[in-house]
Amino acid sequence: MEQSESLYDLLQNVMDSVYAIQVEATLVVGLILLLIIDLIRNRKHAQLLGYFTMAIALVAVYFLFQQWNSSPEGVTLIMNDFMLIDTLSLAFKALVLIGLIGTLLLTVNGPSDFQSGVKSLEYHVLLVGACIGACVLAATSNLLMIYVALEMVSLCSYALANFNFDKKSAESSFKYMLFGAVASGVMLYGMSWIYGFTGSLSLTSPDFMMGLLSMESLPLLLGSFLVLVGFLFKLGLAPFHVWLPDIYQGSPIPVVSFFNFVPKVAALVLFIRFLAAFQEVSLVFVDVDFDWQLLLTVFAILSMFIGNLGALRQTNLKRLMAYSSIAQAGFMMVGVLAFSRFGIHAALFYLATYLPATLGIFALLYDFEKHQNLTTVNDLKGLAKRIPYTGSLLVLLFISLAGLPPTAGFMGKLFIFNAIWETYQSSGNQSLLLLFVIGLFNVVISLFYYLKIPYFMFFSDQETKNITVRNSRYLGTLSSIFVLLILLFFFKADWLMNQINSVNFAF
Amino acid sequence: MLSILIIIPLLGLLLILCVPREKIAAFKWIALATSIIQLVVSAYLLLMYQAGTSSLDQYQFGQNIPWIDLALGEFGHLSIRYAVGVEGLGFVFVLLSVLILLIGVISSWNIREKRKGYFALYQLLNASIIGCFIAQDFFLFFLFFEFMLLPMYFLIGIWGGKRRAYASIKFFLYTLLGSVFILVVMIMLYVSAVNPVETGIKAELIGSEQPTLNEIQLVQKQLQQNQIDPVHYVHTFEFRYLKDVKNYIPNSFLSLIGGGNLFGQSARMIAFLALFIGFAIKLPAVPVHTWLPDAHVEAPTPISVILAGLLLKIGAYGLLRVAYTIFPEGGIYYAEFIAILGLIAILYGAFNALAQQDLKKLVAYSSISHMGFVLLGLASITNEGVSGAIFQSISHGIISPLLFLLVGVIYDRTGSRQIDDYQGLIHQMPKYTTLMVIAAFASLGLPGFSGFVGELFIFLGAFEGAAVEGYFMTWIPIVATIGLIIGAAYYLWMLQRVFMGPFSLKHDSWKLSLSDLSTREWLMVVPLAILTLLFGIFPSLLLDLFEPYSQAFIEHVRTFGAQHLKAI
Repeated sequence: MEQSESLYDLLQNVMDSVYAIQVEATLVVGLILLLIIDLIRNRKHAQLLGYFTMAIALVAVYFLFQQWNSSPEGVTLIMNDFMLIDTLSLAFKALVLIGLIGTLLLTVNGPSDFQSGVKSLEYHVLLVGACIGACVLAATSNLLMIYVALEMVSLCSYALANFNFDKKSAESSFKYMLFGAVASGVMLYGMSWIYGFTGSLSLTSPDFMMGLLSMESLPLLLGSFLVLVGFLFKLGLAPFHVWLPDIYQGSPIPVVSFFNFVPKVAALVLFIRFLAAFQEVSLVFVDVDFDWQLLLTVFAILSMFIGNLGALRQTNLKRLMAYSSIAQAGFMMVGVLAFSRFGIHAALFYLATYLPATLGIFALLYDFEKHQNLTTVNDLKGLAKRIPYTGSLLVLLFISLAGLPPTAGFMGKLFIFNAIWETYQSSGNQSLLLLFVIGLFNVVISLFYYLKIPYFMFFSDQETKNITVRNSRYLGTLSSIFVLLILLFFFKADWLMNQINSVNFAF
Repeated sequence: MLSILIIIPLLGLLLILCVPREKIAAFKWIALATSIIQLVVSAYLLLMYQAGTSSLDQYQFGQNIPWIDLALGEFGHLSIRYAVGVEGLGFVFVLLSVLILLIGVISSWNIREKRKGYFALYQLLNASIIGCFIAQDFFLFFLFFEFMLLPMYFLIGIWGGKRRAYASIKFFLYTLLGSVFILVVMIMLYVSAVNPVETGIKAELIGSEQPTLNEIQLVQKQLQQNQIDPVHYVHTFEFRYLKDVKNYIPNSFLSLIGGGNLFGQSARMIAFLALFIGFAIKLPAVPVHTWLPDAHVEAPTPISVILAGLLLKIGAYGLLRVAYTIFPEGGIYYAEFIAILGLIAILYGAFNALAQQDLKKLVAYSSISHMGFVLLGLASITNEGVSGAIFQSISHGIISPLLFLLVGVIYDRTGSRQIDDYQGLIHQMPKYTTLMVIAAFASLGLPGFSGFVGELFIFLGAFEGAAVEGYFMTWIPIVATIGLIIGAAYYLWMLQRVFMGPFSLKHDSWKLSLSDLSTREWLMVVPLAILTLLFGIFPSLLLDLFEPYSQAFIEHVRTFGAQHLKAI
């Protein structure tokens, strides 16, 4: 913002860019409507809120689709440079909205406590709220906006984490809040450093670049590292992962499936924007003999090992998924670390295939937990005898997370490893080779626990629990659809990838 | 045409999934029907097959259609094709697979539990094994290779013996570890190599889909001189392009000149080693063999049959088809290392077999020993050695299923496979004894049986490779002959303990259940026994099918191997 701009110009700029925030606007309007509807709705129509939220999300997807079709070239700054619009932001918004729809699908017709209970309204409002934050995050490169939007996601998440309303849930929610607040504080502190160095809040502005280039590298490094800590915390990357297993265990499964995706998507897009901005000044880092890529490589490797080795020992299903998600975040980082277009595309592809796989798993786990009170791996013993079809679905979903053919997870891992290999080949950076090798061998480790659940389901003869309750047909169908998706994205991976290929960003 | 062989079991699978679980009898008949149809189709293919035209590039019954095509921006394109076809090597393995899979179905006849699941997985396994042998695109090959693991994991893990869970996960993880090595090389390869035809079309050097040789050479020449814009590169997984260094992007990681270095070695050598490790686990070679005895002992009989008859062969097939063909210099450079590994496997397997109490374990260790011969034959890189290795693979693919089936026969009746539990079975089961004697003699390499021919060729080749070509030291094949003697020892000793002497059993109650072979059992063992005799007496029946291939293979490996070694 320059001094000479009058208030009129500023307002004019805002008015002109309203067209570009249709998605966020839809969500905001929807959120307000949700509050109103809850006041006047008939309590008998238990599922009304769920369907309405779904409708909001679909309208937002429609607007998004229109924006995508008009495919903006390059980056357009809007809202007085507070927000921007490019294909990268649209792609990540799409992921956020699909994640929201997926979470809603779990509860809209499933077990009823998110529909008729007292917490029904809060559940939907908080979900939409977190998504507004995530969408704004995807579309901004302004430090101030980043902080505000990230807090929006976080605050909604803290509340959502308590949705079991029991001691465990409250404890985990409180833990989450404490950790989260510290991470936000650290990030904000780092941002203040960077702002001090550059005098600019916008990651993309020329002032910012110039400011960075004129700075000494050590304080710059420290400042940007502090900011990154905040992002890494959201992404759940080791060593900033300690909060994750507790949250997963303490929250209801639909909320877990939301946590498993939307905040990560948001953190990843931030990461990409931040790295893209700093890529320009990477020369600065060279002369202090500090390898930016190396540091993140260490985090990614740590994450894969801690996630995979940690998951080996878990017996609680949700904790197992938590450690799995830590490892998966590590894999996503591998794609980003390639620091190339293809790498980002690969990470996007990975995210897009990670979503149906985890949603399918959570749908089935939700079913197990709600209807049959099965929460540990041991409870699943011999279950496949009674429900072989569900068992087979779980096998395919876990295989996709592990990254074996014929599932989309394999393609995702293949692209990511391709990307890192190509970067290694062109740069000769030995740490990337290490990342490549360790990443691949982590696939083998991860198989131990991904196969553990099918293993207990299929290979044990006696059932630990004698359950008579039937399965939910709805959740079964839902996860069948997700399985079809991961098969489709394997056999026709080029459909999805060619869409992703049109995602552009400055790098 | 070949695709039919994959489609049939997949249709069978669909049918099985559609039939309700209560119709217990239907599943095995569906499985039998699919296998018989496959047999008929492959018999027809055998009639149409022209062995004489076999070369490394001339696929028969082929099909090659685009599958996944991705634009990678400045890196060009990624093209994965559904390319299938057979040359001499793949064809004999396809024939073997169809036969063994049919016998596996017959042997599965008395599977009682969860038949629907069993036969459904069996069909999946069937399709992926055949797919592995006919794939001509590395990606497709890898897909089938990996996909084999899942049905196998469940087939061992659900229908297996007491320690089935341990055995199945061990099998899975070992093989997966191997396939990670293969995956690494696959990624390196495709990043480095391009498809000259499609690249030529993109760069407008070639007009049509059917280019002339000159046009392809023009593209290759321009590629080598860096005259083609990387945007036009079409990265490929097809075997026929991967094996020609002229299709590698100059200065890319695996290109011959200016390629990368890893651990002070040329990257191509490391890539060869990685592929070698990957396939050696499947083969299995010592010291990565430990999954095999466990998997064999715990697997149900039909699955042991498939494991020994077909899955191990994929290791050998992969070495020939992928590792040696793409990196011929690695085969020559590491010949001695491979020969020594083969020698270790021969001796280690044989000595272990000598000490086994469990009949199935004995056969499993003898498998390790016999696959060691395959390695030795391959290492020699002579026509005799390689032909011998292929012959031995096929022959072992017939004999070891026969042995496992026969062990399964008494296990079905008494539930015990311990050698000490039986004595003098010849008095109670004369027909069974006859067949067991045939199988054991075939396996220990008595002249007149196929095992002899394979081992003879391998030793001829190995001595030639050692003495004439100097690929490895002469003492290696000499010491390896000890394996033959121990092989005779453990089989004869087993025969003596189980079948000779006065008739006695651990429990007298077994006497009633130990009846001689039933008609169904005849049906599955006799064809195998006849085949091993047939190939023992008329080896040319089998040899003629792949002889042109192995000649072309040797020529390829030797000429290009020597050229590449010089260039490195």
